[in-house]
Amino acid sequence: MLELKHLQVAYRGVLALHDVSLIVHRGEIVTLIGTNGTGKTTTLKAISGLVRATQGKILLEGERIEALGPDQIVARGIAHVPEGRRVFPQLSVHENLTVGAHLVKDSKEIRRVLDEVFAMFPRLAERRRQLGETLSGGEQQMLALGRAMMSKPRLLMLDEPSLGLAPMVVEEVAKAVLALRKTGVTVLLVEQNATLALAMCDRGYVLEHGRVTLSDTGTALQRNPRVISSYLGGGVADDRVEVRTA
Amino acid sequence: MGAAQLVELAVGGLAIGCIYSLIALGMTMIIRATGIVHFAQGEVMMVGSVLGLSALLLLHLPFLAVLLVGMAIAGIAAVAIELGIYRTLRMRGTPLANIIIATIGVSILLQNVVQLAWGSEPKSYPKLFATDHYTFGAAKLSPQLIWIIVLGVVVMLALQAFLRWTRTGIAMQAAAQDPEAAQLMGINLTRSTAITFLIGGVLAGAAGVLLGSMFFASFSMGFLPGIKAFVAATLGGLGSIGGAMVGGILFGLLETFGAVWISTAYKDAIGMVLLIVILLVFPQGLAGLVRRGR
Ligand SMILES: Nc1ncnc2c1ncn2[C@@H]1O[C@H](COP(=O)(O)OP(=O)(O)OP(=O)(O)O)[C@@H](O)[C@H]1O
Ligand SMILES: [Mg+2]
Repeated sequence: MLELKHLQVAYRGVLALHDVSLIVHRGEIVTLIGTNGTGKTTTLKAISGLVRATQGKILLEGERIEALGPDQIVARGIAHVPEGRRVFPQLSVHENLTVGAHLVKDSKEIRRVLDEVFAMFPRLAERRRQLGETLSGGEQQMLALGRAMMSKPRLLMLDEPSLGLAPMVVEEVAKAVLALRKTGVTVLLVEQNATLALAMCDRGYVLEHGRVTLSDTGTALQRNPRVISSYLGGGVADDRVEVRTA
Repeated sequence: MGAAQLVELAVGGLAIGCIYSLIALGMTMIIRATGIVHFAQGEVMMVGSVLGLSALLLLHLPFLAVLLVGMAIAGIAAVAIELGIYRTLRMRGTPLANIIIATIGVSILLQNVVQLAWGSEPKSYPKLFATDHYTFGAAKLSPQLIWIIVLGVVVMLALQAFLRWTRTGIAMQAAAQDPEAAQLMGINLTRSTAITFLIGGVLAGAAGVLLGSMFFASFSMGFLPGIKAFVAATLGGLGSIGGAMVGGILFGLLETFGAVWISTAYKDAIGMVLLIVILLVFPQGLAGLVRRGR
């Protein structure tokens, strides 16, 4: 569905991504893990058109999209939940969700998806008049996810959804992502919390200094000694979380 | 001072205040969306006023139609300036401070162009209302002023309704609050910023026709009201929509009463002293006070 070929991105002449190639097949959950500053966010921003690739190709269903603007990319079915949630602070929960459906013209359709979001996150329904900035971190993450759902994406990209959240909230968000995948949405998940990401994903890529250095299935990566020592806290593979069965 | 005179002064202050509010609202929306302090907003108002008067004289339109023509022309002018100048500067990576200085250039340019094309002589608007005055107790109120207040308030309420209840309005707010996140929602920033300038221009055009109908229209009529509207927007807490409305009206009242109680000769200076005092005492403006109070 999505393919990056030798993607290169520079910020004012300084390379942030040197060479990133990856594939996301339809219906998969693919994760991209790596430590601080390795270019995970930059990769997602390049896909959604917020930063320009200096070299390489981005293909969506075989069509090149690296020269398109962010609005055109949303229109092609890619939704990006940005790092730090970036809820609109002075808009209500309901307004935030409406803005998520900016490119959906059919108001009946908007109401239908809105009901789906509220069914998935009842907490948002209770707080629909509350301003974005007054929500808790967990609620903001739910809102950011719900807002992305409002555009009815084929591919959902999440940038560190677990950051700064309590374990119970992380689990709730993870369940929501798995439920979305069941409805046919493809997921590209960026995480520093590799334990969680590898437990959730079908396949994963390891990003180091702007390069993909490793890629395998989630289970294989969980057992890979290099991954264990660098990303899973050096612990034994057995303490991995099992979100899938939840 | 008698009660009648007090009422008359208050109505005059409210009317001129509404005009400041209309200009300040556009400035506020532009600051929120782009960070640009638009010093040419007074000249956008002037363009609406001057060309509105031309339409009135050429086509003998009724007042309401003149108002709409002035709004439309000022709106189009503002969009043309944004797309032709400011957007080009932004795309070249020009620092914000330089773009703000460019708005002063635009202000001077608009004055010169209108002076050349339209002449230096102030032209007065024809008498727009049949009756001489409404009486309210002992007070004699000019219908002109009453209508300015009514129309100004209607336009401001329409703006509030637009921002709050239409999808475009909500999307514009989102784009102003977090442009990058707004792009991820599929909002086209170029379009959303252009609409912001369009609305700011339309509001300024309304102010221009209303102000022209009080005094006259001329190429230089926009300068002082533009600066005063900026003071009003600062008074309201730069960047707050409600603050710009209240700030404009408050400024109009203060200026009007200040002229009577202190001195007419210092009418313009009073406002500027006010600006400096506000910035010293309440750096966040009225909106800052309200926010702190909550
Ligand atoms: N706007 C920018 N201007 C200049 N350099 C940037 C910019 N954004 C990111 N970078 C640089 O690009 C590199 C990759 O950053 P990126 O945000 O993609 O990393 P990340 O993997 O998402 O890190 P984290 O896990 O901390 O979020 C870093 O060296 C960063 O300093
Ligand atoms: Mg990041």
